Amino acid sequence: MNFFITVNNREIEAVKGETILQALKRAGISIPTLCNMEGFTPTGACRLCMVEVKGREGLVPSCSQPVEEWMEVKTHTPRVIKARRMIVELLLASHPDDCLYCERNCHCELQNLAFELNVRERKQSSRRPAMVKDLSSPAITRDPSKCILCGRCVRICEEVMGCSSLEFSGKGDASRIDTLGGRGLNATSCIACGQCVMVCPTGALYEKKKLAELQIALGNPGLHPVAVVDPVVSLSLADVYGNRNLRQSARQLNNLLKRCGFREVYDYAALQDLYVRKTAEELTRAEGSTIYSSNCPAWIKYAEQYLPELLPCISKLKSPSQLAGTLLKKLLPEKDGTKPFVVSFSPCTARKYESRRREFNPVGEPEIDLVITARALEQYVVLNGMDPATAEAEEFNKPFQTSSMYGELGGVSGGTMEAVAAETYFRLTGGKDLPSGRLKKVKPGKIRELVFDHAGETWRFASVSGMAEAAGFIEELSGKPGYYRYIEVMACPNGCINGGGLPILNDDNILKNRQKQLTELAEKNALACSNRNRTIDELLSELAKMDGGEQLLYTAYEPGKTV
Amino acid sequence: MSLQAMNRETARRIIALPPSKITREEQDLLLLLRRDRCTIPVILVSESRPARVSGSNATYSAIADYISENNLSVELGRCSGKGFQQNEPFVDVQLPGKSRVTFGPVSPEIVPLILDGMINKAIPMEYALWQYRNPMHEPWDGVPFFDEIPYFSGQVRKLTRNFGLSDPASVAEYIARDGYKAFVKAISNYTAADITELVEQSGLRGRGGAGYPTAQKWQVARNTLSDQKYLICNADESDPGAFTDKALLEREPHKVIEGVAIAAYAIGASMVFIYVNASDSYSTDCIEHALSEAAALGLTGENIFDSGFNLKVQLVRSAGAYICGEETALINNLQGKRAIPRQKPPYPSEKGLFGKPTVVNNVETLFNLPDILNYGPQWYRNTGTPDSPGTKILSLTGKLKYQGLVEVPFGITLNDLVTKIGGGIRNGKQFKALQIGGPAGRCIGHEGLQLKLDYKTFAEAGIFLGSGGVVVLDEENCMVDVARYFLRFISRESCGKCIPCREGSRRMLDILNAISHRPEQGASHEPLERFKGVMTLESLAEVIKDTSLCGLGKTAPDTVLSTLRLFREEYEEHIFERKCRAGVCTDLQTYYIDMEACTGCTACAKKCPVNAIIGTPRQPFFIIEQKCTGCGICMETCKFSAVKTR
Amino acid sequence: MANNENSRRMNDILKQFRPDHREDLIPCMQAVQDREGYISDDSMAAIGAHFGIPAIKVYGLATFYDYFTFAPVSGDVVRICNGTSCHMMGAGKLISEAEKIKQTGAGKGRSRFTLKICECQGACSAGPVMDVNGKSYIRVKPEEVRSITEKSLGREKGGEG
Repeated sequence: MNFFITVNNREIEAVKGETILQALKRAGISIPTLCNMEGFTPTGACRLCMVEVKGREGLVPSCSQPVEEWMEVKTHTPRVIKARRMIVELLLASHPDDCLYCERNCHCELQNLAFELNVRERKQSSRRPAMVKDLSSPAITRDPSKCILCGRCVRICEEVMGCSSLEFSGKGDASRIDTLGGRGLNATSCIACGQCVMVCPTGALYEKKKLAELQIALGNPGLHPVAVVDPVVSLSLADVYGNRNLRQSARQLNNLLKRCGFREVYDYAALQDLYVRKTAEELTRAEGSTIYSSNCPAWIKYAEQYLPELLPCISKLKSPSQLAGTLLKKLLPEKDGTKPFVVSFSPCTARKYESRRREFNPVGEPEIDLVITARALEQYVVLNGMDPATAEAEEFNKPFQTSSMYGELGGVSGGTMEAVAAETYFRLTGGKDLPSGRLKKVKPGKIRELVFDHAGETWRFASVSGMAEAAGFIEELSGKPGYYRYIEVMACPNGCINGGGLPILNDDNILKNRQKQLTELAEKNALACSNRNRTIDELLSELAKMDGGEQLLYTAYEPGKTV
Repeated sequence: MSLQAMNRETARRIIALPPSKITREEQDLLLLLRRDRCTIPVILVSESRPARVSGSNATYSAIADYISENNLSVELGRCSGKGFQQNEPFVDVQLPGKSRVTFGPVSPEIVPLILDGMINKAIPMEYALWQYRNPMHEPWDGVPFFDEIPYFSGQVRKLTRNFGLSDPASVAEYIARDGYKAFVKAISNYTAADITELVEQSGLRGRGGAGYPTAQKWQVARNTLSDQKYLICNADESDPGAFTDKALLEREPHKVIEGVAIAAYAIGASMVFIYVNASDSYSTDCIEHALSEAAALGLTGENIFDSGFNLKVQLVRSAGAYICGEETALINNLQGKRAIPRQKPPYPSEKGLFGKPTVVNNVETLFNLPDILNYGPQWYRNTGTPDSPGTKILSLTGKLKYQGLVEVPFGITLNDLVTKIGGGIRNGKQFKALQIGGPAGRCIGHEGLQLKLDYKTFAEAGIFLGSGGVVVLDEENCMVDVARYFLRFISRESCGKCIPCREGSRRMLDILNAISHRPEQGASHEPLERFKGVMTLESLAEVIKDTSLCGLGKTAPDTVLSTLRLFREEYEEHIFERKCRAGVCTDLQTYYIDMEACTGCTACAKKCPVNAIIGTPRQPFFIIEQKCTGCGICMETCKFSAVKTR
Repeated sequence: MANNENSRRMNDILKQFRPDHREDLIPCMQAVQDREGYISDDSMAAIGAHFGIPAIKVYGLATFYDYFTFAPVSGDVVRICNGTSCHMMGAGKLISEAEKIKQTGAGKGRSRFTLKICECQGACSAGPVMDVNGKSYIRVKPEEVRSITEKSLGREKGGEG
């Protein structure tokens, strides 16, 4: 039921059951918020969104107050503004004074609030007890001194990722957001997905950028630096640079990377094709039991911690990123006495953790030397004084130069699943392409399904994203083993286009846009499935000649201890 | 104990039948249980927190030993605390036919004197405090009556009339005093709607703090359709200065249970949680014992007294959080979560514990119910004011001559509370202020003493009554320290969810700390900075009150604001003159050496951690004020008491 | 083996509480605190496993409520009431005295004790109230704190004056 409410003497539309804040947003009236998260029930913790409502004595939190007919709301009275400023002053009073050195300088929500509310004087100050930075995780750093206790990280880790690595502890002025017993993140259930970093409004959570190491490596004459670039990285930077032509944008990025010092730049999408080919092989050999995807490192860590009985069902194939590392270290001849140095550019923070796994770091020779996120790359381009607009398009280098349309779709939830389905169909039918239109959403949200029949057998494929939702889905399936032949699991909701290493943009439509862009990009690709990517064949024959051979492509998993 | 407790059948008969229908033997039993009659001398040792702390257990043992050594035919037992904390431990002695006399303080050494006297039917007058009036007893000469003592005559002891008389651990004694009659009558002869109507007519208001009309709260729950409803009896009382709720559980736990049962019936709740303070086991033990006695008599459980009413009572021990005084926080606690309040609406009476209609009532509110049903709403309204009928139980403490648990009618002035009942300020000091309402309350000065205790009057004056803690202060109390005390409590006990309360109360505390402590080495706290801090207090307080999510935050600034308004000069002395007139803020004391007393022994100079003491040996030494950190080591070291403070 | 003994004890406690009843969670934690004297990391993990919740949730609860401690308390315990009335009677000075004695007496056996500040004991007219290992002292003056602690420490627990 719709009705009208008066806001700042203007009538706006309101829908019964929604909150004042939702009505305001739709009408384009913006109010500062901090603890509010799209898609989550409001908690009313920050008190920034308070408004004046006629007839109510105190101020009212617009995020949790339902609209009522004939309500009269004022959003920016002196009383309200005074309250908002005081709240921000209170936060600033116990916040470290090091904006200039902070990771989030220039894109920090607290900074923005202080600016918007015209806070120009430090009226109060206080000292909190010294808090130690948690540097234990290879992917994420925690700096509790900057935490403003908005609780977003706690909620996303619990409700969306199903891990609960962070929680409120203590009460009153001893309140903290803490790991269990204050231990390092690397000793918790954290799967390094980086979603907490994406929602943190300040510099309390950020990734380990490793730009200094990158700089040193690129300046080291004894090294042969090469880059592997995930399509989602160039896609997200295209957003940032305002570049509409995605294919060109990716090629321009190659140019920028070469100018930074990379000798070769490889297309991650080609590795995705290899991955899909090998997965389909595994699938056709599997004789009916379910195989789970293995290209999401956060999912792997989750499974090792919480679903050890499922480990035998997870594909043993290394992720495309690690495949790149393995192969490049074997393929790149050591000429000029230089050692190959492989840098993987990824939308993902869990890949940083992945690259440090023991099995991927045989003595003295890590498969992937560095993982750099899209966010960090953006900064690196600036650091090197390069203007993306002046870059010329440059092709990727062989052998990872070409990809099929499915190679490019790996970044969207369902992309790998569809790719594997198409590849399997190709093999089973001896060369036919999967008719389009078979993909369907099973449930609202992020579970998708693809089904085809062949030779009297039904092949079902599913994809699920968001670790908590995925865990629920997997549990429901425990009564139906083998129902799905292949299940793609992406820890981040909607897949890598929502990865923890992407630029933090305050745009509600960003995911939809990225999904649309990637799909459009892929549709323009002539190669309709991974099998049609001939370059992979050449690679596979080369591989057969290497020592280790095909075994190089595979790994093993171990149940992990978790709390 | 020579007195037999009544058996189950007798107990149930006495509860269910009107007095005219019980047998002669049963009546005699009741007379004995009430001590209206006794056949042999009765000695009762008062058992309460002040009693224990004063050594009542040793007194009890001494009496027991004396009785057995001398082979006396005497009954020794316990009675609950009397609400008067001076002169503990109390021992009540009742000789057959004579009135009951209270003696105190009775240490183990005094025991023989008392008991010897008693055997000889004479009482040692110097320890006799008062005697209780009873038409069946012959009074003693020369002993004041209980109702003549101003401390007691100033009160209206209706709810607490059995305190200090009955044994809390005996359901028989409770039944002898009309116990459980109201409950059984309610479930047998009245509908839940009838009961709610009676409570509505009585005008009972919630005693937990806000004074919300109880029947109205019940009605919301009654009107909400649900397969399950809950009643939560909040007896946690983490107010640091109140002990009223604990006393109710410890002195008449059965009345608590009866009140709880009546309320559960009225709202249609088959499940009740009694939430008790667990910082020690005293209250828990008392109510647990009483619950088992009640269950044994069939007063809880299925189909109570064939009425068709089922009631399950579960005791829950609090885990220690003041914020649980807030309903939604308490409900979160019961659901195994951090006690964080949530937005209201929806109110717990509509949607509370596990999503079901839940009424949270303070234990004192429920304690009023048996009387209301036994004597009627009209009787209830005869005491108190039209807006706030009945009486309020208060923890009266502080610098008074007489302190303890008091029960006063609404309408009494605070002045009468302090002077008539409390006896005025002790040790010849002067009244300075009165703090009421605990951490959510405020300070009241001289003018405020004219205020009448009444929810409406208090609400209009912006004062929160709270659970009934009243602390009286004299000139030896520093009002800045008083404000700091409560702010420290609030900033520790705030749940931490919303910014204004969590950060704001801490900021207010920091400001007060700055004006009551010396700056640390190297930090400069100019008077102007400190003054600005105090100005910020007021605008900060305004925002905290405007934006906090729950009552704790909204009332957090009240004590500071009230002391600032009433005692501004004291604050200014702290800020500009660095002086604490009450001598409480020891950090602001200046240390100096009395030139006459100092022998120049150099001991203090050697010990001074910051080398602030200078001088020539065998000549008087001198403390450099700017360097001095006020640690006081010099004062401790000096053997000649030459180091002094001002 | 100590660990088996510990798990057996833990299981004895846990089985009294229903895993599908979240309202049993805090009483269960209290039972563990009462039995063991504190909540250890292992206890948190065991309780969490019993109720099917992550151990960190148990941690969040244990740090919120004052009932729970995280390290065993051994030796003497000196408690000083800092309820409103006792504080207004000067308990603050008692507490600073006690803290001073703790600091300066470090190393001497007698002054190694745990100092607990507790809430209103309900004996306000006898304030300030302090107790050493369960033995109560009333109307304590700051200068008496040292002699009381020195006299009582090391004695048996319990009993009253």
